[in-house]
Amino acid sequence: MTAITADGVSKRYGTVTALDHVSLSVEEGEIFGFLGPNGAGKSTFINVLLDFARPTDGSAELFGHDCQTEGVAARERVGVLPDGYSVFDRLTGRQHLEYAVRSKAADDDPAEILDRVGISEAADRPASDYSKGMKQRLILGMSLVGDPDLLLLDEPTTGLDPNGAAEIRSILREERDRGAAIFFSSHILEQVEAICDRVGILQNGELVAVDTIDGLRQSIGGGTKLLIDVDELDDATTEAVRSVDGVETATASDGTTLEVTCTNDAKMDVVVELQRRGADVMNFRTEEASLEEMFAAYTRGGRA
Amino acid sequence: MSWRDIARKDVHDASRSRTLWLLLGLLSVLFGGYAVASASAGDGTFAGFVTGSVGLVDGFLPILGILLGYRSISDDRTDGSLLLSLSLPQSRREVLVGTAVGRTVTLLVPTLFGLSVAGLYAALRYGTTGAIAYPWFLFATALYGASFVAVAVALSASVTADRRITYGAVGGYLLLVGLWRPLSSFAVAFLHRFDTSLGTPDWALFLQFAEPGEAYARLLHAGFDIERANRYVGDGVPAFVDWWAALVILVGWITIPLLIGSRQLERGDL
Repeated sequence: MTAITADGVSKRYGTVTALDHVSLSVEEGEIFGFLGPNGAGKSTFINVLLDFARPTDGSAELFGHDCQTEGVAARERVGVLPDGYSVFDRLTGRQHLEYAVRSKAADDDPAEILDRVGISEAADRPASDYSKGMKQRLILGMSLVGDPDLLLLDEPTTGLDPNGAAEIRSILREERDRGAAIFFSSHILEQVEAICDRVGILQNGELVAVDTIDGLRQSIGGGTKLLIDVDELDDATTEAVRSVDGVETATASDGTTLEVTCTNDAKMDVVVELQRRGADVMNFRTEEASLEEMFAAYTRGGRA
Repeated sequence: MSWRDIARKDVHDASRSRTLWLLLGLLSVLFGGYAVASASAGDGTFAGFVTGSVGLVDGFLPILGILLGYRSISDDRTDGSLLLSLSLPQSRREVLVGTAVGRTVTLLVPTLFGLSVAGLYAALRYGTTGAIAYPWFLFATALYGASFVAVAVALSASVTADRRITYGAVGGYLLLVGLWRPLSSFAVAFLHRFDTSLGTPDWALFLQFAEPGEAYARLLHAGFDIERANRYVGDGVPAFVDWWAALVILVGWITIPLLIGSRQLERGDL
């Protein structure tokens, strides 16, 4: 069964368009990374799924239940780490989990979950005393209650050090192996690259790409980046290369090296254009494009 | 029944704050102290003690109920803990009802505890004449307190701007406790063009009766001789100011604000 179905979801605040006809679906057992710069609309989309925000257009479903009209049923099988939450100041970590266990009518042992997210020593301290990272672990723990079929996580590794982030990723893998779908947003690419089956890239409220990591590589530059050493390089030449059909990015680095990401077919055109402008190509290498560059290519393209 | 989980969470939260314990201490001292002092201040009978206690309840319960409730939902909404509750499979309405129940329990446990201890002492000291109706007093007091909590929680669910919540709470208190009667009298006088010979029409009697404090007094009159409710008893008064109508009014003061508050909360984005 499809975990998430979004059909043309739009959200406007006055004249500002936060989401522009976003359609996507996430299948059961899949890890989906929702990528985009800050302010692209990632949280708004998740808030629509949770019915914190009502779409101005379109609709969204979780496991076939409309997020707006059947919100409670939609959230029944879902674990959530929302954006902009705050813990209940006076409740302890254990009481937070007890609340989630009761509300979901689950039979989890709070101590076990606290241990799993690594904050069992702090179980009986008020959560307001927790550090940002501990709070994040606590809420992730709440989301795991009741073995949900979908985890909906908004920037789950915020406030965690690299080790902590790695621990969270291994928990997410365990959950995926159990059969849960995972949908998480991030503006940090490595995290997405490390565990996602598919990613969606959101830019200014528009979903500009949905694909596997490999697929994204394929679609820009066949997974390659050109590094071209020329005898002389000026801004006009770089500009000219950038305007070649199929070129995504072109930047000059250390004076005489041009870095270009482009479609496979455009490689030759780039070299021809350089020749035409009188730049002698001294050396020519290719490199696999990092996700960061693909991301830059997409988000820059979206703005142009 | 998710509202129960929310109420339980809310009471847990309150029980870890000083508010509840402060209330428990304050109300115990207040009611207990009055039970002791009633020997010299009142007429030294159990009925006299009850009459005095009603005055105390009337003075303290509305303001405490409003203070406990008027920031409940709005604070959770501002700081973001409301999002945690609504991430769980529970509706906004359940959150509202659960919060109202939780705050009501927080108010009523110390109130009823204090009144029970004081009532026990008074029964031993002043004799048990009239003590049989004491549970009725506790019941009416519980409803009375719950109505103010409900109004305040509904307000906190309807309004998000900080200043408006404060104005709303102050305004609500003044209206429900002080201004209701003068305003309804004025409305009658105005409609009768200030001709006092026309007396008080039935609808105006009902309007006055609809104030929570009046309904509370009328409800108490079913068990005790409460002077304030005298206008609603005796020959020739309409049936709609009977004690059961008072019960309906108080239940209405609980449910109608909550219904409005839940509609407001369900509307729009968080």
